[in-house]
Amino acid sequence: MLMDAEVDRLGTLLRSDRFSRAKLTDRTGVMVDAAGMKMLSLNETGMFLVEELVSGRSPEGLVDRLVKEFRVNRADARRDLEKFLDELDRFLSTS
Amino acid sequence: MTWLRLHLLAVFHAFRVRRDLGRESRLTPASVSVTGTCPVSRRVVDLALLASRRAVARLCPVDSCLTRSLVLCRLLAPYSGVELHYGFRRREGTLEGHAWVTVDGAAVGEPDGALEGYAETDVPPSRAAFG
Repeated sequence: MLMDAEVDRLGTLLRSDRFSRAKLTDRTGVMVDAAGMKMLSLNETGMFLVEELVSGRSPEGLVDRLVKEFRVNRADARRDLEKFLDELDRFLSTS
Repeated sequence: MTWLRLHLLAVFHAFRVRRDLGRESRLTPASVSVTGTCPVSRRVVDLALLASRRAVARLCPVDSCLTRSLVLCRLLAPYSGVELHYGFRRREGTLEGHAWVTVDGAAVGEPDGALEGYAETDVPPSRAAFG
C-alpha cells in the first residue's frame, strides 16, 4: 500500500542538498549521497521516478505517470513502484 | 615562495585525505567547501595542480581522480571561482565516474575531450550538505 506521507518524506529527502543526481544521456542516472559518499545507480525507470518524486508527485500520480510513460498496466506499475520505493528508502535511510 | 607553500600545503592535504581513507574506508569531503573571494592566477593554478598530483602520488594509498581533485580543491579553496565536480557517464554498458576541479568554469588539468559525455551531479559536491 502506497502512503502519501511516505512518498512525501522520500520527496523531501531527495530535494535536500545532501542527495545530488546526475541524469545520463541514456536517461539512466546516478544518485550520490554527499555525506556518506555512497551512490545508487538508477535505470531509466528509476531515474524517471526520482524526478517525479522530486517534483512532489503523489503515489497515485506516480502510478499514472508510469502507466502513461512506460505503457504498463496499473497493477504492474503499482507493484514495481512499491518495490522501487522500498529500495530507495533503504538507500536514503542508511546513508 | 608560492611554489614551496603550495607543496607544503599539498602534503598536508594529502595526509588529510590519507587519514580519511584510513579511518572510514571512504572519503567524506565535508571540508571541501570553497569560500575564497580573491581571483587566482594561471601560474598558481598550474603550480597547485603539479603540487597536488605529486603529493597524492607519493602519500595517498589511492591515487585517483577523486583524491587528486580533493587535494587540488583544498589547495585552491582560498581563491574565488573554484568548484569541485562529480560526473558520470555510461560507456559500453559500464558506469564511469569522474571528479575534477574547475576555476572560473574551466577544467584544470583535464586533457581535451576527457570530460566528454559526463553528466554532472545537479548539486556540486562543494555546495552539498554534509549533515
